[in-house]
Amino acid sequence: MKHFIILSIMLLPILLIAQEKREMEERVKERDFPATALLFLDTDSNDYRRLRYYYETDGERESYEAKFKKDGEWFSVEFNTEGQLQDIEVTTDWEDLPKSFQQSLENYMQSNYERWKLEKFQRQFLPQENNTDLLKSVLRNPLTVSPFNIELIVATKNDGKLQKFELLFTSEGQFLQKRKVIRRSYGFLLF
Amino acid sequence: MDSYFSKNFFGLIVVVFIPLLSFAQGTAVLWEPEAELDLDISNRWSMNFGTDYRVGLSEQLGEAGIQYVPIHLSFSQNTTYEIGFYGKVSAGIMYRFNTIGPVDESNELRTIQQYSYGKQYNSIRLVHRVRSEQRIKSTGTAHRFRYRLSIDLPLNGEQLNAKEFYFAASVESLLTVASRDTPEWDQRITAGLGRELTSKTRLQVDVQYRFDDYFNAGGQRLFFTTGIQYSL
Repeated sequence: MKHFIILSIMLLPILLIAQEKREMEERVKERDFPATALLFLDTDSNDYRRLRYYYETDGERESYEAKFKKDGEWFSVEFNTEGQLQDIEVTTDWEDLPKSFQQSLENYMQSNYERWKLEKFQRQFLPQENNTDLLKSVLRNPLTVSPFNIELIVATKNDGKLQKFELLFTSEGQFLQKRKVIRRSYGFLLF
Repeated sequence: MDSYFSKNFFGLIVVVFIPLLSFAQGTAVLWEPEAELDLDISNRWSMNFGTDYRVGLSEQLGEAGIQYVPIHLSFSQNTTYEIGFYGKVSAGIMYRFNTIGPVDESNELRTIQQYSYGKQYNSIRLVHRVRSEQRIKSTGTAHRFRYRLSIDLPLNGEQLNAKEFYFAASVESLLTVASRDTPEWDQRITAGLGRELTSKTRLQVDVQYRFDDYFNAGGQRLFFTTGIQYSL
């Protein structure tokens, strides 16, 4: 019992601070997810594995995201607060990406960075006229659906400085946007 | 909105920490508050300064409450150089004042060399660490070789944002060799809960179970570590 009291005292500072308000991204329950989005996803009849719901905000823009696994790939379906589809993203392999994109990416990286390591690729599908059909097609086989963009995470080095970026290209390899990814420090796991 | 995390938080504390307490019966229990300062010097170089104070917790017959027995006070400094995309090599030095405790033990100077490799897989990060140490005391020098596998993951969502909690755990094997002693193999298992207060400050509470001198049934110790880390 005394050990429990000591543990409680040790944890107290960390718990007190826990009462503060936050944040950027958090996991939410299904009942807090927009109802229209749940209907669209049709979670009862679709075979989603490890389905999780998230709420995201950057302080101004708010969105909801459902993430799940299907046929070995990770899917994320993003909605606005009204439950309207914003995009569908699916992880994909380098080998399955168009050759024109591969060549353009190679050129882009060579002209901007000294060294790089490609870490993750996703196909990004934007809303169309019939989003229900779009979701069905993407779930059936994302490799057959077009048009799509390609989002990737890349670790880069310039002058020894390591940075991570999220890059967005069209499937033909036209650069669209770049966003810096904040690297999680792991100094606390070193010493 | 009803946060998915908030309702499960206390359950998590119970799951992580309480089972470890069940080991505590008949086991030495120690508490180690520590503070660390991380400095990013340049693109690849960084330094870490740390201090910790270890106390033993015991209950004496006839005495009310828990006794706090000082064991040691340490100061350390490590310098780290980033290699490749995921690797880091570090060299460090530590001085430990053992003479503040009741046990007749000389102070220790420790030199440290290590390589670590950390990579993120979605929200989970794995860090391998291989370390060698020379523990220099007036009574002789012991060489210690360590391997540790750590994981950490944010507890709320896939990214760790400011004011969020994370979970960290590790397993570590240690082999100590010295000319005057038989080799000693130790095992450590750690589970911790941390909180990113700001982008520069984090708090972490660890529970660590140590199996000392495995070959010779050396004994077991339970550590509670409360740490604060500040990055500049």
